[in-house]
Amino acid sequence: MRAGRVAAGALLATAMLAGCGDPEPTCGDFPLSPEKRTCIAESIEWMVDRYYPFEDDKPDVSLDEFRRRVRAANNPAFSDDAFLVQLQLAVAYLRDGHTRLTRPITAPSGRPAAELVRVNDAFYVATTADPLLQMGDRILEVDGEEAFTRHQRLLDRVAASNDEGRSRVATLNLLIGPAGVPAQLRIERGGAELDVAPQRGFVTFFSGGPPAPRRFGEVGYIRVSSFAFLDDVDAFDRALAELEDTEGLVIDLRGNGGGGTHHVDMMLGRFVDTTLPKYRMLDENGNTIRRFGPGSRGRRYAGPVAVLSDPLTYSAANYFVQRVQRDRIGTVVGERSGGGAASPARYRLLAPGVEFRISALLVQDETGGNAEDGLDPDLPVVLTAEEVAAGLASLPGDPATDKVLAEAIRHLESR
Amino acid sequence: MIRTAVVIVLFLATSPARAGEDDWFPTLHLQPRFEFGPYYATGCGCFDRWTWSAGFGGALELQRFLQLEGEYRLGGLWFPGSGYAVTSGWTIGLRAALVAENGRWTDGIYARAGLLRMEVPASREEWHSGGYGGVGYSLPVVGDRLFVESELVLNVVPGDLGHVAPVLRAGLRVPLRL
Repeated sequence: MRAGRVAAGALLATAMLAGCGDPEPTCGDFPLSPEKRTCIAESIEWMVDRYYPFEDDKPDVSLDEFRRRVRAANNPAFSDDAFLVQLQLAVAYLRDGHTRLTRPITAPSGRPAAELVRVNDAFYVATTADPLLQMGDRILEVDGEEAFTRHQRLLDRVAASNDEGRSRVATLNLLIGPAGVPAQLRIERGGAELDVAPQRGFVTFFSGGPPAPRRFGEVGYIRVSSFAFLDDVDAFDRALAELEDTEGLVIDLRGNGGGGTHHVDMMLGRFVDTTLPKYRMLDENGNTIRRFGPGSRGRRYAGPVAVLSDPLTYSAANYFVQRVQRDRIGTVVGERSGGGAASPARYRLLAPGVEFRISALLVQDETGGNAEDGLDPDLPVVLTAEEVAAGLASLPGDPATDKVLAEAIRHLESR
Repeated sequence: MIRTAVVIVLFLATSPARAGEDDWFPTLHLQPRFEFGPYYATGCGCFDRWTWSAGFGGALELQRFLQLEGEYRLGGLWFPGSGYAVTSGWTIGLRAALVAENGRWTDGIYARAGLLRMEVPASREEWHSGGYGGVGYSLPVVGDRLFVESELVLNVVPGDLGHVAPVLRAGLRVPLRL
């Protein structure tokens, strides 16, 4: 009897553990033989043929051209890394920020401790912690390459859903290079040209902290840096409770790369009285996978709302902007959002560290349209080179150093 | 997997119990459970989602008024009209009968309380700690070998994912007599 129970327990434990563990790469391990490369290339082609939802929506994208690029990448003369880089370029051609190929990092990248902004066709230091650079410095050359030419070259590498997003990422990466190797920069400062060589540190990614309240006079401010975390909804609620008595609220979604639409819906639920029309998520056959939308939740915030957006406001954050505009929840201030009306629901590990992820579920609004290409703000804010030099793009979240926020506060106060 | 679990539970429930000399030994009980209830988010000050979970646990009955129990659970949070999140976690606590055994229906009333740990993968702090407490009723359906139990339990989690969830729980209790 006892032995039977032990055996039954072992059977149950085995059944529970079955299926756990990392998936095996579809096409095998490195080094990549011609057969493995063909497997990787054909897997990507197959997934794009099956799932890519924007063939009819993006006039600049031809799947025939995409296939040609993928096949051209499969060149025996390329090293494994060069092969994967070429595949990344082919995938970036699809102009979809959700569809991307990751590859193992062979050499770490870095950049100087400085953030750049683009004003027309010029690039300026908006903020810096490097003593060799100053706010307002104009970047003329990077490692001997003219800045604008370098920017144009980087554009093709960026997987983004619209031109604004692609340009913003290329601008942020303009100074990127091998970590630990100084960037050789020619800059313009105070009308004079000079050469500087700031050190490239390692690039770190930080999504930003949870929503926290700030007050600027009678206007409240909450930065939502991501929609990836459920506990941020609760942090948002607590922040809103502290700002309940304000006469207007700014929600800063700049740099917010998205997350879960249900997190968006829950936050938006604090600004509506009713259940808003549902959006749909469609699979590759046009079938509705799910419907979703905000409904009234908790006590409604009574004042007017402004939402800050920029080209890095992507995916679920773009959906937030879309809802705010379409459902007249508030005013969108800043720059065109980055778009991204899909969910990268399908992915495949092709080789160790080589994962292909694709937009497989399309988000469609109640009219049948989508916001894949981003949304223009209701109140656009454009920076000049003089304003960048004066520090008006140096520290987001403070109207003294953040022109977009200052404009949003001015807008709310005028209402 | 579910079929395997059902087979094991039925097997244990219908196996002959040995009476007599080992009755005084501590008894181990298997306790598969399901719970469902509304979720009051303290940050919002509102009921804004539903919570559910399926749990598989056990209780070690030292005596009628002292049982140690633990459970592993898998479940989720459901946001009506919008989406869901997957959760998992475990509990550990105490369980006790509320009345002395008297051969009446009140024999089945019990109380539970303890600590819970809840994992929400899509959150900044994946693990959230709290407590639970509640009362339930245990109804024998196959002699003393299988009980159907239902409970009203309050799950309370302070902090980042602060909430109070009054849930209904239902499940089986299967005494093991090894």
